[in-house]
Amino acid sequence: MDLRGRPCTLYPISAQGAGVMPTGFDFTPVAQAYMGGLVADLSKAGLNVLMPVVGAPDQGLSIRGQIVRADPGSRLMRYLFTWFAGAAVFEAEGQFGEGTVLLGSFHAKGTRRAGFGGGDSQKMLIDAARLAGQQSAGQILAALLATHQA
Amino acid sequence: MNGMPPGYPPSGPQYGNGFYPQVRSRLQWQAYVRARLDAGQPVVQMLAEMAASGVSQPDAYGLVAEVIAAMRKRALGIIGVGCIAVLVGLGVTVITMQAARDAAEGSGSGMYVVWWGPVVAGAIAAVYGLRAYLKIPSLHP
Repeated sequence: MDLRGRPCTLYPISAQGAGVMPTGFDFTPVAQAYMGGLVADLSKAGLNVLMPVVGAPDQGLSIRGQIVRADPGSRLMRYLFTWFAGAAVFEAEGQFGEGTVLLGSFHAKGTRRAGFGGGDSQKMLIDAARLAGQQSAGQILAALLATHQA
Repeated sequence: MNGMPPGYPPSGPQYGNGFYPQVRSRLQWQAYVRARLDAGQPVVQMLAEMAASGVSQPDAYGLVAEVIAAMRKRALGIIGVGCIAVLVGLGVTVITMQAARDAAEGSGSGMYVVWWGPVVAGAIAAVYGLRAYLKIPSLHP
């Protein structure tokens, strides 16, 4: 199935109800990293990713996501117990559909366990978020292809 | 007693305990419960908070039980890996010492390895896992 040029309305990821959120630093770059990873992979597949417009109906595919947890982990624990404890984890879930038809859902988790000296927590979480964004895009594209092959 | 399990007020408004209702998906509740239990929040308080947010009693108990089971599995896994690392380190040391002793009896000299790295790392991991396991709360205090 050819997705090139197909419009796709992508809503900014919502932090409503997130189980864990970072408190020591600005979360904005983390959310941007997730959206960046998601948009990059969707665009690579040919989708025309658009921002939603207030008051206007969604164009084409509509994707909404929410954060399950954005845990920066612990640098000290990563340094002492690499691979066992202190991992930075970004987990998101969401749904996508077209019009009133729900086409599928996605659930992605990006994890970063190791870094120099444990790794800076904000940078680790940003990397984890980007990874989760790419995973989300992969799941959405796989579901779209499966839907059209069925 | 009115027969209700701890954490659930018998009737009336759910906000008297100070919790604000939160709309969360199941995955979000799992992440939130895991984080709060890791931080040492009592299970009873967790259940009350979920009741205030409209989560039904069976769902709340089921969710907390799932999270506690996952925490136990993780802690036991860390203890297991730590013990294996200790055994591997000790095993390599003993085997090479035995081989060195045999070689020394034959040719007069032998070499052995004292592989203390996995022993130390494994012991630390096992203690960390044991500490984590002992901190896991019980669903039925």
